[in-house]
Amino acid sequence: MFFVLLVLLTASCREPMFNEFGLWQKVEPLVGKILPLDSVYMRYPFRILSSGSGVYILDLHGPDFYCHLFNSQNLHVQQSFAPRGNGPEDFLSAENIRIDANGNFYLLDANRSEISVWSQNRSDTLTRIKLAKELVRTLDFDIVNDSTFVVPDYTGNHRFVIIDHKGHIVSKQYIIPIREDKKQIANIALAQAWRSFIDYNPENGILAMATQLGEVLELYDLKADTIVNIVYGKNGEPEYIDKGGYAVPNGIMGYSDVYVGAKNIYALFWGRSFKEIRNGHDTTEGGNKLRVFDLKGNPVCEYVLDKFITGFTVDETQNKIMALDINSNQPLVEYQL
Amino acid sequence: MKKTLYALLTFIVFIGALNINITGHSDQIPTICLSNIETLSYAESSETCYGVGSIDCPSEGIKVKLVY
Repeated sequence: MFFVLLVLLTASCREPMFNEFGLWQKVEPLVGKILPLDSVYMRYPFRILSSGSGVYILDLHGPDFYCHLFNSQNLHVQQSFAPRGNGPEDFLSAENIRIDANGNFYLLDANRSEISVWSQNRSDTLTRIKLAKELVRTLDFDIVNDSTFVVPDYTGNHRFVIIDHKGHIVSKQYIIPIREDKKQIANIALAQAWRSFIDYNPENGILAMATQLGEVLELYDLKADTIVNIVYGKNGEPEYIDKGGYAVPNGIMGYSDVYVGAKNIYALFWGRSFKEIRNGHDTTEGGNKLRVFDLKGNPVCEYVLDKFITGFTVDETQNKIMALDINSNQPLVEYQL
Repeated sequence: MKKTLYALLTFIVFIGALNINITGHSDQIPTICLSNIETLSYAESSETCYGVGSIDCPSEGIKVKLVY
């Protein structure tokens, strides 16, 4: 009986494990190939998705539309959608895009607190899911299964939240993995500083969260309901100054995008200090370090790209990535890994 | 009397302008402002968020390069 209790207590223990990595054992330079896109003006291409016949690009600061669909063969634009505006059918912002197994397309608008859904033909918005007010502000999302999404928690009380397709909260899970020696009050400023980009792979159940500030990659197994690993780089956890309840970023710009594949986890790292950025010495947007970890969070390889990119998608079957270089008039770049 | 008043007003305006100039040099924000004119028009109502980027500025609901 005592043994059973002990096992149960151990299983319910949610203290994260921390691991640090230093220098990468394997570092490889990569040269990209520009893929000329149709002439669509994009101000800040930020996220890219590939779905067989089409390539979707999200423009974070799209002047007219937030999303563009290109033909994957000739890269001609097929459709621009999610218009920017204040009208009832318009979008105030766009954070991320997703596609489900049935080809339905999803877009998160943080300012409207909504996830919009389009059917496969995208003739019109199918549904608009109003997110629960308790979520406060949702900055990323991914599809868990037919009935739920995962979103980062913005209150600082938890790490992420599972919501249903009506936008209601199903469960709140884990806590922000601050180290013991840096424990502080959980609040919105802390959650803002720990703002993370997420990706979930429903096949292996791995959820990756990569912090935009600092250098932390968190891996959770949603199927087994466990923390797989909390991986710290040398810059450690996000640094910030609490200014009137808002987190003012300090330290470094960290990760910018993350992808969970079947074999590996890929994370794009900027690694530039805010001091450099504030001084105006560094005007480049994006990172050029693509880090590869195995599914347990062990470092595998760091690719040093010849361009600075903001977002990417991985084709593991062909060992290729498609990436977005916002510093160029031709933003779409392909890398062979 | 009028001349004295004009002289006094000119002196006050001169000192005021000098003060603005001195305090302007003590902060790095104006340098950023100059290099981000597009930004200011984009985030004109914000006092703390600058530039076009990917950092969330929750008070403005926009994505910016820097938050002060």
